Amino acid sequence: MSIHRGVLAALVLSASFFAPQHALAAAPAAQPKLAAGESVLADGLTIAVRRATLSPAAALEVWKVDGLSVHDVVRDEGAAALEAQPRLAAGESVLADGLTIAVRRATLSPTAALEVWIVSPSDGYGASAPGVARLAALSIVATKVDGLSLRDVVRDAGGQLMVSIFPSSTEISVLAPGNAAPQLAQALFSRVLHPSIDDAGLRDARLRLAEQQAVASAEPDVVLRDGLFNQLFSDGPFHASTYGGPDTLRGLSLADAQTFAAKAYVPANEIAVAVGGSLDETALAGTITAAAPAAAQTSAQPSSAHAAPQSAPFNAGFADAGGVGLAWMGPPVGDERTSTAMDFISDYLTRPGYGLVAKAVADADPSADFNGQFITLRDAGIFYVTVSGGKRSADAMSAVIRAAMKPLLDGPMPQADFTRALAAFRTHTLRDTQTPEELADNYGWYFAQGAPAYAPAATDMALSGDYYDQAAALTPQAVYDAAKTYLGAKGVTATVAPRPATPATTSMLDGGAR
Amino acid sequence: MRAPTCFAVAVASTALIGAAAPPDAAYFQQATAQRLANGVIVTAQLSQDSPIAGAQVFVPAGLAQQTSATAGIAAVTAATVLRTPVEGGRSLSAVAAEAGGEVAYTIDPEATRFMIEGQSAALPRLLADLARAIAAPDPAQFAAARNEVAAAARDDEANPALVAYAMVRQVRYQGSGFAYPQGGRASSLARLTVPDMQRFAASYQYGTGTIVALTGALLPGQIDAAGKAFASWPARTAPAPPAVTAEKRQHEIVAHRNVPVPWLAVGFNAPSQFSKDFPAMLVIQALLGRGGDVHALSFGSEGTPGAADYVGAFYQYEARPGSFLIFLNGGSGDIDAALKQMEEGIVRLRAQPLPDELVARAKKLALGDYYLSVTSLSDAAWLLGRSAGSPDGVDFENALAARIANVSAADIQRVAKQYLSDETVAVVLPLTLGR
Repeated sequence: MSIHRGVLAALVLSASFFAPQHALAAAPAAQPKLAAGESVLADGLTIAVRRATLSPAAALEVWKVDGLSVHDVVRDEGAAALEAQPRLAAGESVLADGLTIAVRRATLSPTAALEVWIVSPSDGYGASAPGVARLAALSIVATKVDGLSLRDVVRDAGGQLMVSIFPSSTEISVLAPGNAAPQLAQALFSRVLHPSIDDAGLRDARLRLAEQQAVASAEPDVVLRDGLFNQLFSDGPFHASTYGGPDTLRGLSLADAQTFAAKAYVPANEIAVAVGGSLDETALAGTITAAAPAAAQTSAQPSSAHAAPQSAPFNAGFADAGGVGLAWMGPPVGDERTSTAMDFISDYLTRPGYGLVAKAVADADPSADFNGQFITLRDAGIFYVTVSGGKRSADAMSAVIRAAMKPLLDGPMPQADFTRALAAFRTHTLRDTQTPEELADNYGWYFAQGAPAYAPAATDMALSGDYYDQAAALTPQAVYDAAKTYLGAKGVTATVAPRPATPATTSMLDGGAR
Repeated sequence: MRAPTCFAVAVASTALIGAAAPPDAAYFQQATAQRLANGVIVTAQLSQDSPIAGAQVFVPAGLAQQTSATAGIAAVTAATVLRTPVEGGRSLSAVAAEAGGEVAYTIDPEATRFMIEGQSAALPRLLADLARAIAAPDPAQFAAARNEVAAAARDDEANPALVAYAMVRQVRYQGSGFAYPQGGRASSLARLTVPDMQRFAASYQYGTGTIVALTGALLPGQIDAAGKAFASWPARTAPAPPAVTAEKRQHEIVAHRNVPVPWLAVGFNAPSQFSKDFPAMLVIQALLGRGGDVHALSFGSEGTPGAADYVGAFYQYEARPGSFLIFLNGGSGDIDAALKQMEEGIVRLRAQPLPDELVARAKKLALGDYYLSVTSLSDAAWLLGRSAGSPDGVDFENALAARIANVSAADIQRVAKQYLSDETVAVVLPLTLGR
């Protein structure tokens, strides 16, 4: 069976969206079970309407089924035929141009986290160009306006600038000392919401990207994670490394970076976030509003097709240490109940010093580095673990991981254990969203996944909000169902091989001489 | 005086001392401090961002209180405390972890700090557990704790920045336990005994010298309960650590290690954190290269994650006297040229006042570093505890920001002249064939 999805890049793709299409393609003569929101008219035409809250644009498509294939996809991008109203978190609002803003007070620290998140594919629009989003973002912060780059402005004010690229979003953030927050907010929002890239900025970005590529290629955890995503997705931004490769440095031009920025950095794709203790919320909202650009047409966000899991481990290449990674597809963020269950599972299994898998790996090999988490994503989340730098073989460590996961797959947890673990999960989540930067990141991430109101950061002292409501509703059975459905399914494995190791070191000071 | 509450008698000083606040300053949250009858200071800084809270408990025995024979005992004792059973046979660490919280230790030059973080409602219970574990650390946990510290110490020995740092301390802190490697040496660790550990734990228990710093969402009753956990400690004052004379000679020390490129640390005397020269030295640090914070190279239960490939200026102001180090890594260029450039920069600092524009920029960087060092509950609790133990009391937090803003070019020149001489140069060279 083959399904030609053409330029399939709907604003919201979910497992529930995929499921009936697969069923339809496999058995066209049968009456397929319809998804929520789908219905069949008297003439046999099936219609599906779903509210997608991220963008004011709408995707209108007609799919024709012909035997075992689907083709002739027709799109009408940017047509706001269906009004989309994002369900926002408290403190968030949408300006007339489509820019979402989030301002939150957090009083503990005399700092402010100022961020812009841009929903955009890391490998660009059209033909895949891995690394283009990173190159564009690094160019934007390096390009000088009135003689100073954003990087210069932030450094001179005592702040810190960070650029993070994810497969389907870009984050440009400033951690500002409270005394410089107004100045840096003005600088960040005006420059990123009105991006410009020149030759000098691009040259600087190329140097930094080359350095980042070198560092990333040495990190076994990064190489493994890229390898796992490469195996889970057959194309698109989740398939490609966000760092790109040598071709990114050689092949991408100023025009490529500018064209990408022009398509990606449009208000409907963006959220401006400010979290901190010294904020004048009204003034900040005014700063953002003043910096907001005019509305612009959005481009369809390329998606990634799911790949059929392979039985053989994928060789992800070389790094400074060897290691192994395992990954499974999870639910889409729209399934908040199951996504929250997967977060609970991730906490229970992978939290360092606490999780069953984390502890089992540490017991099996104290010298190994462990990473693991469930990544909440718009289309389908990913649960993954990586172990690197240890002395055990990939097979042995995979067995340790699977054995440690087994209790969750064997049946529902005993109620008492579950109750304790749920309380711990809540506290962990609160602790992981305590700094201005963590809070702002959280708002940005969930905006980028199309679920701003579901952000764990969007809560208060009473733990109100979607996320903690979902957590409170979890049961041992719900957790077991999620584990069985997603972690009981076939996953993928990736390995990384070590570069030649250095010999053991000598004792401190033994060779010293005054 | 900051607004005292009904549950605490504020002992803080009454004003920002010695400096006016800059017009564009940020402010730390209001704090309260209370001195218990036995001398323990309980200080709190409240926020209502989230129903969690953190604590840093400072006890007055750290690296400096070790002897040559007991080097490493500070870390072993703290590790034993974390492993001590406190509830139903479960260790302090396990009890905290099961509740979603965390307990960790850091060994400072003159103190050991226990950090606890968790749900607000659980914090008083965890602090009571900590006090019990400190009062009677379990001898049965000693061996495992020693193994844990020995493994971490071995990791430190493989880190060229930490090797260089240890070499500088060895020269500049003779006569103090701060001269020894932070996790001890294999030889001294092997000789440690349970009575050594118990003696060191007993040296924690001085009312005057102990500070319980609390941050986050806490109610008055929870703060009172936190204080009660330490109210039974003896009302006595911790002895001062051994005095160290500021080094007045130049040294160059060379060691060979399995490193791919040379590493170099240049160490100078520096004012300690409550010195009047401290703000000017923070500005000098900003001028000479922003590095990590004072705990970037600290030894603790979390290891020394900040030490990896450490390059830049490092200001150890918790020790007395303080020290100021600049780390250079030969992998990032010509190390001789970098050393020469650094020495020229110091000569310039000492020779004449800097241009106003440069001073203004450096002050912004120093102020930024100061504010950015406090983003989490544990950061805030550390700073609060330090402030509560300062001559200014909890007002120290905001006063320091104002003092940084008021540093002048003349201050920088004076402080550079006074401290930035008689350097200790520690060189870590790659092993050559035959060694």
